[in-house]
Amino acid sequence: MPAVRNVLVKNTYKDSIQLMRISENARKQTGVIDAAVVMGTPTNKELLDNVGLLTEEGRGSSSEDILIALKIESESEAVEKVNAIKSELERPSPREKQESYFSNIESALRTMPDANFAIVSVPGPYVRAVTSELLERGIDTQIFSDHVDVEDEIYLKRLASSKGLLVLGPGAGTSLVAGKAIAFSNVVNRGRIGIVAAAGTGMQELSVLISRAGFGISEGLGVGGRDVKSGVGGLMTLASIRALEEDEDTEAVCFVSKPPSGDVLSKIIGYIREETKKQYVLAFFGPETDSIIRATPPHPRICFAHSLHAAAIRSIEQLGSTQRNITSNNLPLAGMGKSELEALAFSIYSKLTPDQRWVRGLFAGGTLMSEAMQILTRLLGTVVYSNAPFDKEGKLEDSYVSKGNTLIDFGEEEFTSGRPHPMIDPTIRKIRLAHELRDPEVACILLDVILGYASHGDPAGAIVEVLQKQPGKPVPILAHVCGTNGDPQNASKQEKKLRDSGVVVLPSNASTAFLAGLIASRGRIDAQIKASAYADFLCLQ
Amino acid sequence: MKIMPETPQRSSDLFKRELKVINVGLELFFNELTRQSVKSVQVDWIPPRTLEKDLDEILDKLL
Repeated sequence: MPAVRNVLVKNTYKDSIQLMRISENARKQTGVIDAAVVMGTPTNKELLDNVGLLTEEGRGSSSEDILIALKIESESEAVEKVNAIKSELERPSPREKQESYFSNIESALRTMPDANFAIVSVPGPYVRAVTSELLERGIDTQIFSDHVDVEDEIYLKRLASSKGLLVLGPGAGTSLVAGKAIAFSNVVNRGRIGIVAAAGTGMQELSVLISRAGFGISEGLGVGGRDVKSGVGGLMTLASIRALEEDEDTEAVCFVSKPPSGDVLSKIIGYIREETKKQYVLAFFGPETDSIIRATPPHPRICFAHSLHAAAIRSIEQLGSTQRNITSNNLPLAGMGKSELEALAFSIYSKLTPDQRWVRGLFAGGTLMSEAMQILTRLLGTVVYSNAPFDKEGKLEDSYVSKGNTLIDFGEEEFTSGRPHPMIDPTIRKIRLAHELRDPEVACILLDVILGYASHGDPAGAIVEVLQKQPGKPVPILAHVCGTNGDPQNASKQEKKLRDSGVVVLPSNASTAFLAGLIASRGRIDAQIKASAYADFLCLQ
Repeated sequence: MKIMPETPQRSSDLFKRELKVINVGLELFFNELTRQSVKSVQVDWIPPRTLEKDLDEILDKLL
């Protein structure tokens, strides 16, 4: 008789990736129907409850406990299975070069006294102490951690500024430094366009589009989403811009961000105008974007872009004529103009039932979701709901229940507390995809497929796995692979896998969202709105 | 008036030097740096233990 058992390992910490691997091994055990080994955070307990793996014992766990949840064929085997998992928890991970592993920063730096960069991914409340220690040693630091108190962020960035150092993040998943991919980043060409991003997947998409067009990135610095708000005051945005301005290998700079607070925006624009000499492309994603662009006096070295697709094209255009070798074959959407996009949209929406009205976007990348929201809001002229909307009107009552046109950012903290990011672990998005596929009112589903270092080994495969289990008439799936052929997952192979399963694959997130808008509206968009949207988002006249 | 402080920016040196990284936390990032042949060290960080208040006070006095 199957049974569900929860066992707690109290006050024990393992990172979410280690626990994900232990969970995978647990599920492979004979006699185990399902298993999860997670930190006992509210998010994880809710997920376990939804899949029938939570008992009263598990409900009593705290975020500091490891929660072992098992569904087993026979209650009599419970003890044996739990003990196997506990052994794995206690076992040290296999490591090739033991001399590279340390229990504290001090001993690590004795072995590598000339360390010049650090990555910090510890729980938020501990970030200040850890990062301070690194900054005092003169080490530029990238903070991947979320849940960092804003006062701690301000303290760290002021400390870094006083020493001429960079603190990238918090919540910075992506940087490209000295030609290397830091954390979640892609293998892209080295070149002359520098990127500053308060937007992780924004940096990824931009660097990938530029690279696939045949150009390259000098450095890419991720400053964290909160840096451009009044509290932090743009400290690291300005420091990063200055670093790229002084870098002889950077010719043009692209800044991608949520819309900065008014005072921070003034500082950034003022700095670029008064104290820089290079060409700048600015791309913001949020409801204030259009008003920011209208309110900013034109300047010969500043160009605004309404999408990452447009930002890639504009950044390439800023390169001097000696560097420029732009042919229409290189740029995103090469060979596909307005008529091709509209024909593709028609071929999809002509097969929909009248009830199929809504777009559902399931995103691992927050900036990619914001970009899609910007495009769909313009094209459809209605509220687009989300767990991370641009304004209160669009906020979903329940992030697990879609309403009308809905876009979900699975990287938001509500989904990631105590869990790996969706770029590493596609589980939560897969569950939601299966659910949306069964909704008869869905016209199309939008997905971002993010490749690169630190990301899941086969994100396209994870999606295809869900599609293959869906009975009945398929719902159109539109996807964009944010990656290059140099990435471990290989973009061409991922795209082929998706296409072979009937997914419509487009070369940029913006074009994918645009297509979704054409489908949901059945092409019935006011001509002027459509024309300006083509120009703004896809650089199509 | 200059918008940025006059502190010398050291981090642009970073772009020209060989990257040497200390990774504190998720081993995944250390492994990915190693795949790119970046010289790295890994700190297996765990939360500091919190003692009961009276034990903490006793230790403070002793040390």
